[in-house]
Amino acid sequence: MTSRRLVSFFTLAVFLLLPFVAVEACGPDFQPDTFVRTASPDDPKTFAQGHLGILQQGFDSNDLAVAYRYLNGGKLSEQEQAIYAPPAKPSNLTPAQFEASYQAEQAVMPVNQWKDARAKYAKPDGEITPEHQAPQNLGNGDVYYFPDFLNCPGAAFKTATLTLNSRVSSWGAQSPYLKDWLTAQDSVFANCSGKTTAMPAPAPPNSPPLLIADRAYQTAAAVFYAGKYDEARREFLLIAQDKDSPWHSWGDYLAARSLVRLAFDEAKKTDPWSGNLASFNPERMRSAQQMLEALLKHHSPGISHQTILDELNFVRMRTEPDKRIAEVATALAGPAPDPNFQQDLADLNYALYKKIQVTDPAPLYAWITAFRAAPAGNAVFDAWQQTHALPWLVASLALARTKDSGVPDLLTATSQIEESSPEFDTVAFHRVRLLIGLDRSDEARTILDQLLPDLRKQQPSSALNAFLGERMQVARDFNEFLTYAPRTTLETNSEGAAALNDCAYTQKNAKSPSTNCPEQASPLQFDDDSTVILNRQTPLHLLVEAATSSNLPANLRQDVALAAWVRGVLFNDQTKAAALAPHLPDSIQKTAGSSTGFPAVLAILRNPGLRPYLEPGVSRLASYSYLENFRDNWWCGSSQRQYYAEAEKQTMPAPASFLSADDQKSAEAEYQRLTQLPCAPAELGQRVLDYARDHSSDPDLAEALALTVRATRFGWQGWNQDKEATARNTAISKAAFQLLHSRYPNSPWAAKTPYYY
Amino acid sequence: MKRLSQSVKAQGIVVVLLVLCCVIHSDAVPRLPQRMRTLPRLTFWAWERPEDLRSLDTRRFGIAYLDQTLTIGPKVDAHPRRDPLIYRATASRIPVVRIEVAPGAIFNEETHRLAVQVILTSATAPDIAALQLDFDATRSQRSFYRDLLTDLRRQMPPNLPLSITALASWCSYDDWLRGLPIDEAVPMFFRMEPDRRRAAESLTDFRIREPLCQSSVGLSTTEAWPTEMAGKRIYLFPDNGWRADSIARFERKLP
Repeated sequence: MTSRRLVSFFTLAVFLLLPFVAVEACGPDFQPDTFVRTASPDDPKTFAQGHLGILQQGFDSNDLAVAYRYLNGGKLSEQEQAIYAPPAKPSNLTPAQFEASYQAEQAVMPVNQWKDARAKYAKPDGEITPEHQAPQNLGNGDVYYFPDFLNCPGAAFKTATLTLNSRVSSWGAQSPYLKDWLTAQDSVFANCSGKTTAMPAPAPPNSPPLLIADRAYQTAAAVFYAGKYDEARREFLLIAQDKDSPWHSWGDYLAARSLVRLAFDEAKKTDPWSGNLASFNPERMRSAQQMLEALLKHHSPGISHQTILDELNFVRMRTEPDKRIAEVATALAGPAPDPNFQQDLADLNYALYKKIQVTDPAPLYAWITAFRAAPAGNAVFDAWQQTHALPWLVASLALARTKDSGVPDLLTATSQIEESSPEFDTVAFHRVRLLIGLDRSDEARTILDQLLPDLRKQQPSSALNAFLGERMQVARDFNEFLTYAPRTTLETNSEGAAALNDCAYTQKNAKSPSTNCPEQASPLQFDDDSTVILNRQTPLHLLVEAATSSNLPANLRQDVALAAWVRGVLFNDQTKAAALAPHLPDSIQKTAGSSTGFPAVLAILRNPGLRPYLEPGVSRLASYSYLENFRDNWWCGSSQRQYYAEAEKQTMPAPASFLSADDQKSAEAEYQRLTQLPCAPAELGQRVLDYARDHSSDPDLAEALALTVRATRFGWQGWNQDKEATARNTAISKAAFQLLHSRYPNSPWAAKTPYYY
Repeated sequence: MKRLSQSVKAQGIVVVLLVLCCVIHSDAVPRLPQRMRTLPRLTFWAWERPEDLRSLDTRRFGIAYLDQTLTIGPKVDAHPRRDPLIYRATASRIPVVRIEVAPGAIFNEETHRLAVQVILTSATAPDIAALQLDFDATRSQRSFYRDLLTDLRRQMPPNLPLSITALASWCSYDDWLRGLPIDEAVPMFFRMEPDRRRAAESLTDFRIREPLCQSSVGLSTTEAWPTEMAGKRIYLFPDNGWRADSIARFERKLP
């Protein structure tokens, strides 16, 4: 018997020591919900048409180049618009449609067209990998690994396909010459990946001149793709001299390209940060430039002027970046369309990415650099003063601080901007920003009240949200604040949004759902600036007012009611709690009644999303009944949700002028009071334990004790968990657990609560 | 005699259970899986950034570099590494394949086959020391990854170790890694949000229970390190890239 007990005891001990708990183990990357896009325009298509919205410093060089064109009095041609904003692929394809679309995309790829053409005349010969993927041994014990270097571009496969079709016509599909040609071409493309080096065998004796000429070209190409560029250059020069070769007009051009590749190949590969093919042997590159310049003047009709010019421009961006960047920037700036728009955008991006320093840069280049970097001092303002150009006026205004001496001039200069102009939103936003900073709220309000009605009739946008934020700042009273506080989310990636999705999913799929949440988040939510004011500057009595205000949409009224009610319960404010009770969801109302005592605490324990504050974006309050997977349950302290990267960031509230000093003082006192409270599991658990002392017959007590233990397990313990708080959590957990098991050993709640935490 | 025999039997069981407890919760130096023993104990991760790792002492340190990113959607897309990497030819190298899941991903035999095919291109590169996969797996995707790893193990070179990165939670309070045909799962003690909330006071309380996770640990250059690293293979991730996160500094800091 003794031994049996021992065995049972140790077996139990082992199981207790191994509390494997199955949990959702994916690693979501939550981000704040988006109200104003700062990295890219809302809609590239309308942006390309000149609807620039509010220009942001985080926009990329393509966006800012387009903006500059419009600010410069030009516009994008339809062709340029299609390049900047290509049609988006439909996102809601059925699997069959997706498959068809994928196959269509694959079919037009030159490498696949080559494979298809080849397959008509020969058996498959393995995969072709156009990208060079093999590490290069530098010979000094170092290895340079740059695996995405496109060795064989699409043009190579297009040329091969055209040539194959031509040779079939010349020799016939069953010709041994064609077979020989295909074998040699396979060797050429086998070199693309860099993993193998293959050379075409010489053409058979007595081959026709065309095959012999092709073989010379194939051999040069194979040498080229094998990375033997000097040898390839010599081979191509020989082809250029062979006037009978169908390839002779390409010989010099390809010899120049061999030199370009040689220039990169000979570069000291000691600077892996130099980016895409940026390190090169300058002498070789200049030689290539000279060859291409000569070729541009005298080339045969077999090769196009543009082909040579494109290669030359590529080279000049490296050999004489000042001149080339000036050409690119001038062409992009317009106002006339840029015939080389796509490549110029790419070159501009390259120059900016490489931070190429240019003496006396072209206006567009200088403008983008300044707008993104916001240089200290008056450089941007001075540029506007000197040029009186609109792009510089816009940049000066956007970068101006309230105390800058040039602000009055900027405000005067921008007072008459037409509403239909591309710069209007940017100018209006920053004018209002500066006016608010200068304490000229009435003027700011007038501007906003003129533009907001029309803007509100349009699709939700970053600009609308930004203007609403400004209008909220100049609210004259609390009701006006509530009118402008809600904004439309443009993207949702927050933990609150994810919790709501999970909640809705659970509700839909569970056999007996215990959650109560909407199927999807309402688009209208509070942004950061609104929640800061509501959480830190708004006293409880105004939150009660907000919970019933018709200025807020229903979802936000409920969020405010829940947050304010939890505050009321924590502060034991019977009056406020009772006033809010009718505005709570039925399930909470039914449990809590109008009390702030045990029934209210039980209601909070039953609903893990409850908390005494509001959150920007989709709040956890929206999924209040759902136990969230990542411990965002109940609350700890007084702060709204933070993301880890922002955990150290202190958000200081902006003073809300529409709130009286007394209200702000009360709100601050309430905020401090919340800060002093323990984390929710400990606070709520203590209240349950206190109640339990004198109310052992309460039928809900067993459940409350069990839920307390659950809260200590799954509740948020705060970002900075100190020993004292952890010990308090465990003490409450243990006390609730022991009382539950000692007083209600046969309760189903005791059975559901095997451990404390 | 019968009572004595029962007593001895019970004591025997108790001893076995105690030993089991000790094994499961032991902080003793972990045994390295057979195939992993030839690898350096310390490995520097090189992610999608230009990196110059020539100064690494290749006798002490290996390199695990992002080799390609594979995206599972309705099809499988593969993107090779985009940034250059320089290292000593003598370095012990582990190509890493990152697996992403795009919206509308389909986990079926076709995507399984294509994914294995893509991963094998990294696994069959010459002179590599191991292969590592980096992926997130939701509960519904686990059977896909289990099958993928099984098939991959079957097709990749037999002596090549197979490593995966693992959320710390997989190694702590989850058991889906159990029995996977891998040589190690590297628990990542960084970017732990929102898992960090489960760790009580310090990382040491994030106890690793899964045997496959016992032999290694993944750290970052900017986040706190656990104290129990004795005998483990250590992977170090540079939050700011190795140009900013001084290689020399971490060479000195690592045990």
